[in-house]
Amino acid sequence: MKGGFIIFLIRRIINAIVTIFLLIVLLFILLHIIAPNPLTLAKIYSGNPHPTYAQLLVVEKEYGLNKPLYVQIITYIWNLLHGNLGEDPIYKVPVINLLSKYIPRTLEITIPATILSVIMGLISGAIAASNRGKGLDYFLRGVYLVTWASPTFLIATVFQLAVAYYLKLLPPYGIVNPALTSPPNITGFPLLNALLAGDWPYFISVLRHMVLPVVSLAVANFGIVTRISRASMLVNMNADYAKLSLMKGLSRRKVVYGVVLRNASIPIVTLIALLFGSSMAGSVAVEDIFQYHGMGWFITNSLLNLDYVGIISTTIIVAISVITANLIADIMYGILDPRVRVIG
Amino acid sequence: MEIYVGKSIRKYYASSKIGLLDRLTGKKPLFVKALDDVSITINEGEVLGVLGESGCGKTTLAKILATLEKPTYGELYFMGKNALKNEEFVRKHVSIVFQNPLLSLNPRLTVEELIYEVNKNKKEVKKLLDLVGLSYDYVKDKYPNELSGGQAQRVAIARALAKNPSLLILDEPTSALDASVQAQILNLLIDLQKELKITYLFITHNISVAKYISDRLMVLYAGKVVEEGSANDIFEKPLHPYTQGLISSVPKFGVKDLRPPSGEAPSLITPPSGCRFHPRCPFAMQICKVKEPPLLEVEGRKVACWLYAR
Amino acid sequence: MASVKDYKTILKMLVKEPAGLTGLIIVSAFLIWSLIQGSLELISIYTKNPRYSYMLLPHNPFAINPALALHPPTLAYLMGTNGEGEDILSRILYAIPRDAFVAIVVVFSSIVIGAVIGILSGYIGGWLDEIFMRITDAFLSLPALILVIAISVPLKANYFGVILGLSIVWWPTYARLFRVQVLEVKNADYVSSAPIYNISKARLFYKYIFLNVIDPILAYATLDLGNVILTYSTLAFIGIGVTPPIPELGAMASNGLSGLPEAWWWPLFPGLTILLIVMGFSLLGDRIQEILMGEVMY
Repeated sequence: MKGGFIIFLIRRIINAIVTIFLLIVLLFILLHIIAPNPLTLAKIYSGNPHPTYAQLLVVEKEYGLNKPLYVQIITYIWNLLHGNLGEDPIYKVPVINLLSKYIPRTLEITIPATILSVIMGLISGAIAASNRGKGLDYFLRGVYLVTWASPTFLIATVFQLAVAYYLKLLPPYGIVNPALTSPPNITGFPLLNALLAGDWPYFISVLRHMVLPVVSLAVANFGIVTRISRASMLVNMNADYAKLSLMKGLSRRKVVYGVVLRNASIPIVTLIALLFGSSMAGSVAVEDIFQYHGMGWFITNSLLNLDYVGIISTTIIVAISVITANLIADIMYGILDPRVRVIG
Repeated sequence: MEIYVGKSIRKYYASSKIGLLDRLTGKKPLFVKALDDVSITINEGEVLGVLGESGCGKTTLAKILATLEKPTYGELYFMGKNALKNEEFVRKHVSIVFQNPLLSLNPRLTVEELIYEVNKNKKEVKKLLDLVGLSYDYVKDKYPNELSGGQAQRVAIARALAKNPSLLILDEPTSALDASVQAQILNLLIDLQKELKITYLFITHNISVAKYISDRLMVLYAGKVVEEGSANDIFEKPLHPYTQGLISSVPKFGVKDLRPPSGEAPSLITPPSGCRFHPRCPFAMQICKVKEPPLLEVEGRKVACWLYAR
Repeated sequence: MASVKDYKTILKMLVKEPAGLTGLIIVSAFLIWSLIQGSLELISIYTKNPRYSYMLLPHNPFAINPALALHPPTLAYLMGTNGEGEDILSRILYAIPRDAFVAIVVVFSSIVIGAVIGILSGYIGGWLDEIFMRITDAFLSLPALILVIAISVPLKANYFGVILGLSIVWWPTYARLFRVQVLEVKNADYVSSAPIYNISKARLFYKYIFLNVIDPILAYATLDLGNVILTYSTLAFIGIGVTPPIPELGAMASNGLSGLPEAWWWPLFPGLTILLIVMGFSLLGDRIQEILMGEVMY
């Protein structure tokens, strides 16, 4: 079936690329509908709350805002493919430099947060399903309800208050202890840089600062996984193969947390992209609360500075990462469930 | 008098969606040949039974005759007019009853509304419900899912009759019902047919039902007609090996000898070469594997089998 | 197949079960309070008399009182005061109707837009379907929050700008839902055989398709009102859609961070209020889904 899998892979990748392009086109169209006048657009791009007419003209020329829409879109995509996202009007450096500094830091918390959500969700769902109708089940469903209904900033604030301020277990702010000097930047990821340089104090410090943001994001998002995992587990526990395993003599614990959990996990794969997207969205609030200077913090700052180039560029990069996460999840699902490859 | 004549009807469905990528990689479209060269004649006032197992194309035939689908090839004539060009005309005179009334009746409408929207005459609505054996006052404000299977199907029948059709197509109308209810509905249908002098096209996979209700019978297999003729003749002496297998696969009281056809129904995308039944036929000859048998006239009926080509 | 239930039956079933009942109580309180307080705020604007807007509140939410700043919860100030001495409870009560309005407008317009696009897409199919689905996929590829942030700057990020932005971004999920339902219903015999019985296109659209499709969507919409409030409050948290001094729950939580860790009540109570409201919608929406569909899907 190798050929079938490669075609499946190609289809999914083409799908992802088309979606990204379509998103960029849609954003440009929306932007143009909302602000059709090139000078209005120029004002937005200038980053200046009160620009002079002359300044507006300069900006207009620079971004080609008076050219027809399709030319603008094509120019943007062309530049994008060459890694050129334009120059940030506030910091006066290429935006790509800024993003490559901030995005890895955000990924360093959102990826572990996603993984943690999945693990927490699967386990709590399994426990809830296996104790169906009893106190533990209701308790876990209550936890799911509360965390799902809480805004991310509430959860982050509570953690900050409880763990950092009252219990004084972890630092309340920042990515790393500001007194430490950073190791040479090879990967862009602070944790990996420290690992590669063997700089243990730095590594530990980054880790300690990561915990609260990661846990906040995970707690805010794991509820959905619990719910679907519980439902999926219940379906599988009643399935014939599960009953068969029990009859064969395997202990209930082994059956539930072994075979059944494995089969029940498959639908969760489809959730992973959703969780990653939620984590990215949640990082906007979380990074603000923990003063964690990543992409979320950058967006918030760009809003204050009226740095629209920064906002648009970040949006597109976030879109690309979420679509990529989607793609990976699709492929994983295709590996786990061969039927999908045939239907496509 | 023939009221509905279909000649060489073929209905092919695309079996998979061909996207842009598939066209580039040269993927050839595959077709499900639901009906392959089926000709049918329905005479006025008769009950024509169509017998066949799942996947033989009978529902497709029903939909085409009811103008709900168009044949890929073939001609259709209703009361002398070209049915494909006079859809409105056909729809005035043809009605259809489906297998599952919960799927064929809008769950959001009450029984009264369901019949009223077809025949906007309150008196007629009451008459029709009486005709199918339902109490108007009891059912009129009920929704289909509040009725029993038998009651719901009666409503479906009343609704089909509400427009005074000359031909009623029934696609497995009793298959979803319990045995005792089945018998009630069958008897109802027979009474209605005699009383209203309607023509029936009765589709079923149930041999006993086909035997009970049909005047003439058509046996379908894998999208093709294999035997056609008077129902009594066919059940007394089935000629086609498939019909023989079907009839001897019904458990009869006191008879401990079941001989169903072996194997399973063939794929409609790549059907067997030659006669489609040959892989399961106990009498298959060399020619059966190569050449499709035409419908031969034997003993006053039609059989598609090389055994009778003398 | 779900059976047709009228509102009385649904209400009766809701009241019987504790979780659904709790949800109903919370949501009703939320909506009724929003109606009353919201109307008062409107009257206050028209009559140019600010007293109407805080008649029912324990204190004037705009009354700055430096002497009372950062006081912990007491009997007089049940949720404490913020950095400027304003009563937090009063500010929360004042801000609640704004959330209700956003949620209702956004979900309602999403249903309307989503219905048109989804039903057309599902029923007609073909290349129209392909195009619409590609567009919804593109919208759905980003979390709503990020997308709204992206279009908020040109939209002039005030209260109404945010409502517009959310509406633009929120409908694709509904288009998807409608489309899926229509695809299912389209193949049912009663729809496919309608032409034979001479059912008019209008009747077909309304009584055959729309009514049979709307149930799960209404159930989802109830839950979704909570979702909108979550997104809206996070937007307010980062400053979008906020015009000081008008209080917004998310903005209060953000400003309250400067009071940490001593004045914990400042950021926490607004957040807890949102938690309570969204929980109400969640409980209610789940129960309605169970009642209408016989099971919980999302």
